[in-house]
Amino acid sequence: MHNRGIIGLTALFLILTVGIFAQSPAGQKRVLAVLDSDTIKSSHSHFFDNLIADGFKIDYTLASSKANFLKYGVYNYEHLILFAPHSEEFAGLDAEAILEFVDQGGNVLVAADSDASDAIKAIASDCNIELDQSGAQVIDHHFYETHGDDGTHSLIAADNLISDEVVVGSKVSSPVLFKGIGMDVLEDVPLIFPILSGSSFSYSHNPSSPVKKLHVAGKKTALVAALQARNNARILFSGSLDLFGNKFFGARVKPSSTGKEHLRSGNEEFSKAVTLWTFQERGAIRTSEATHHIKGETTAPSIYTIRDEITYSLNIEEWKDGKWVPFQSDDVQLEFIMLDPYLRIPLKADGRGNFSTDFIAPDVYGVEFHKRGYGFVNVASQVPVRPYRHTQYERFIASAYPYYASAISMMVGLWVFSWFFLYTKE
Amino acid sequence: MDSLPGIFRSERNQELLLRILILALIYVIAFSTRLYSVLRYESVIHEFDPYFNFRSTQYLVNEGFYNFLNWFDEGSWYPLGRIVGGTVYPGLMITAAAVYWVLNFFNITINIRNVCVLLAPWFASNTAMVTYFLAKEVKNTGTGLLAAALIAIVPGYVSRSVAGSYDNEGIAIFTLLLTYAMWVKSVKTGSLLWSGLATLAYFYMVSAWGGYIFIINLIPLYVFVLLVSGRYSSRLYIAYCTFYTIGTLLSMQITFVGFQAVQSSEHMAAFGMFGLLQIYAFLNWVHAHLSNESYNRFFNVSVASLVGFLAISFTAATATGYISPWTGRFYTLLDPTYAKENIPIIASVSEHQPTTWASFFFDLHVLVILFPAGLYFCFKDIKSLGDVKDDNRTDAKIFIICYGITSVYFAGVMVRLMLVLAPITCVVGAIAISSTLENYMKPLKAKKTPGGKNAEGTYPMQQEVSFAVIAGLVVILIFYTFHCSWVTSEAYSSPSIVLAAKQNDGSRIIFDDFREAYRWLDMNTAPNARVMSWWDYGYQISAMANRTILVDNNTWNNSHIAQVGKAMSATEDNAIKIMRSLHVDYVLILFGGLTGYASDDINKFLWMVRIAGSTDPSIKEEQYFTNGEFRIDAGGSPVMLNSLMYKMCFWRFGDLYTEHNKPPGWDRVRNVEIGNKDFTLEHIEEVYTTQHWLVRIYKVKDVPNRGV
Repeated sequence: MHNRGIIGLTALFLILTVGIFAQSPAGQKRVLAVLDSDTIKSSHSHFFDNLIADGFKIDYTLASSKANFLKYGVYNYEHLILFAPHSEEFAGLDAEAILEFVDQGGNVLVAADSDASDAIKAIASDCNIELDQSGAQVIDHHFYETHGDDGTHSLIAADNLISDEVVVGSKVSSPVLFKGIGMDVLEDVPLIFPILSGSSFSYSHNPSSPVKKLHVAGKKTALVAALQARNNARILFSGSLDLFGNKFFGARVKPSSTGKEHLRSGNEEFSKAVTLWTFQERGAIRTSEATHHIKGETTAPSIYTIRDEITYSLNIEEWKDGKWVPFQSDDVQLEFIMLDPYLRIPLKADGRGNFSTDFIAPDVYGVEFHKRGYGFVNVASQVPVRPYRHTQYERFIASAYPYYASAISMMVGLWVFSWFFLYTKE
Repeated sequence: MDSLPGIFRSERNQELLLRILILALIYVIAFSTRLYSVLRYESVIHEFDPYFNFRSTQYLVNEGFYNFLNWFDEGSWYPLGRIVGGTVYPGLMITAAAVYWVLNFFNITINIRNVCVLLAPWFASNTAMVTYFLAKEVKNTGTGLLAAALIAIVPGYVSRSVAGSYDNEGIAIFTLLLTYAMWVKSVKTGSLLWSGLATLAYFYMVSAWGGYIFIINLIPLYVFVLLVSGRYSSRLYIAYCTFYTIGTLLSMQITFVGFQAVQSSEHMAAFGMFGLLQIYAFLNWVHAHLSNESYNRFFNVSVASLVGFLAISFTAATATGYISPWTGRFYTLLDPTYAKENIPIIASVSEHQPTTWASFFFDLHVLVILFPAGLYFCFKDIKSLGDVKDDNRTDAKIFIICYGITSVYFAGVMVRLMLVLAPITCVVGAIAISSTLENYMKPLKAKKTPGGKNAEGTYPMQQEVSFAVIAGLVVILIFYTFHCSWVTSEAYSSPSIVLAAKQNDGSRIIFDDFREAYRWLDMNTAPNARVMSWWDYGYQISAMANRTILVDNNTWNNSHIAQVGKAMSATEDNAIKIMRSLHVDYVLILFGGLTGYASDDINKFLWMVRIAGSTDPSIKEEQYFTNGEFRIDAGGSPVMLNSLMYKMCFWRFGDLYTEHNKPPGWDRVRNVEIGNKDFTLEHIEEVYTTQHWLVRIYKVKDVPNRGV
């Protein structure tokens, strides 16, 4: 029937979204470290030294002073370290200015502690990460650290790390020492994810007051969490400033749960890995040369026809060890969308960063890939897909032969009949 | 007389000259009376559908016929797109393009917009000529002239054919009457030529308007009436068989009709009548060869088995879906309440509402009264001529009666079909007037006999009475003329794209907000921006703002419209999800609260809720009511006061003083103070509001960088 014809042919838009991406300032290395006091510079010197060893240029400033952060609308730094948990202003920047920095593509590392200021909390809560009340500490009566425990069990040997190598690296073998405030990560925001979490027995509360109501408890207790914004800027929140300190870097670890002695805590490796990730040295990817065209041709048409064979290809590169190298992955996908994805095809990698696939246009298309830790890549293009033109249908179809035969036999019959009727006499 | 050139000396030639003169005047009048809208406003396309037709015509002129036939419009019904070539009646666009091409070939450089604007008035003139021909075939030339004069100015037809009203109906009434005129002629003559012409006219009609269904059902009905009344003739057989076979084949050439012509139930009556006519002819032939007794036996058996066979095959074909189910619009014709209860999208269109008596009089004036009189005269003529078996005028009159009665019924069901009724009332009215005039002219012409008595007098003072009656008729016709001009100029010449109102001091104020808003969209948004609006404005946005739209007046996808309705009636938080999934960039709404423009989106809002509810039962109309009442003041339901539509309409309105002595936020359409003034918009932002607040445009904000 006519209606069926229309639905079958109705056409289609091509929206391509290809996963993975980061155009952000990978390889840019200017860092401003905002500190509560000068002592932090020395108490966290290993951390800073590691960054400098990785090629970062660090300017230090006190939270109470003023820094030359933004000039004529241009940021002088790509990255910001806030080691000033008790300050309400950070070298002349308030919480809003810091969030604006993120929206403009800057990366921020924020360390809090159990007495985090309102400004720190405001930044976190704007990113949908809720810090506990002042004075609260993460307490774990099963997984506390036996060395240096003061009886409150608030020094924690945490080993509940996410498994994504791109974020935490592969070398963190010892538990990470943590002393600080607990965070609650809103689950319905897909941009945020916890990196280091408490054990099932952990909770966040003020150790000196009786427990009435818990802000967060169990595995939901986030110790370190990150947000990767849609513009690929990254913010890392740590509930503990000490986690990055020299003291924890070299400490021996003997968790109460296992009793196994580790000579060195995992703090140094962990903090190095997450900082490199936060500052776009890892997991940054970019795309180029996204093309689509009919197979065998080279240029993209303004409109496709259904059942066209389309070739899609795309280059993806990853920032690794200071240069762009071909991205290795086998799960980049192409989606062909009209309202819903009609096709979802893995793109084939050739090992040199080129991902491509051939497919037959059904009715619609697009691509979506995002893997935690990597930046977002969203390559989308919209191309209409039209139904056949009237000349593109098959001219003669097998199932119609009986009808052709009937029409022709009818014509012949009529001719014969007319001839006899007109020219023969009874 | 001697002073005239030779050719005009005969009375016959003088009559011909007079007739041509009158017809020429009618031709000019029919055209010029429809130009009020151009004089009052400007040469502009009107309303909604004409904008689509205009845009399609531009495409046809620019891209050529084959590209038009294969036009896939990616700018509408995003993201579905619309296959325009296959979902449109192309007759109108092709006609306009042909006129344009012909004129330009002769170096008459008229632009395509003016062709489109003036096409309907020109076709109205042609319609008057065809009406003359039809009425002449039914009765005589005098009736023909009268009918042509009546139809030239009848408001029921003017309403759809003023300059700028570039819609299918503009040419469809011409083709409808042309088909009927040719049909009447072919039944009268039984000639293959005339039936062939009728078929071609029918093909033109099919290409121009979905109302061709009326023809393909009326003609079989008429054939049936003739069969039942024992007026079967070989003329009828030739006319109908030619018409049906060739007409069906031709109508299938229109892509939009395609196989519907043999499959949909709306066409079954014609097919059934075709079969019946063959059987009737066959039985006649058998009868001639058999005795009465054996013929009766043969007749009973064959009819019984045939009826059974047909009933079974029809049921089977309907059940298997081979024949399409009865469509909603068809049911609406039979049962006016059907659509209201079942298909909100049909009921929501104002021209699908039943007609009131007032609008009958408004559109037809004295013809309402003359119509029954005319039918009476038709019956009377049939009776007096009925004894003559083969009189072909009788057949023509029966046709007029069939057309008249069916169209009165349809016009009563749907306001829109007044258009189909108007021409026939003119013909029937003309028959009434001319029959009356003939009757009363006779005594006036008759010479008085010496005795002071009339020659054939049957009642006293015959001449005086005749004079009075004729004078009365003339006065009525003069009033008719005044009424028609008044209605045309006051009611039917507004383009509705530009609004006008009278101020207290009598001066005219023009609201040009629609074009202002569309122009803004055109100049200030990305070329591929997607605009969401209620479907009424879809055609205008795509034609004037040239932006991608989600739904438009071609309401082919109910669920897509329901999605838009759902977004409009949801809370902002829920609506944004729908809008993002549909990639909406801008939202456009109409708001009349400041100017008092009543057909704005708040007044249409319940239809949006109903249509959304028809696909998603979680949306319930009652939620938008307070105690069964639709209110927007403080007593309105919270669901209503927090819907996206409410917020978009009344954003910042709460601070505005609209009328003297009234609180701020006084809505001048609903005449209430709005109930929710204190709200914020989170996901959308106002980007443009026109001078009189008639159109407001909102931008959908991007997804927040750090949140959802």
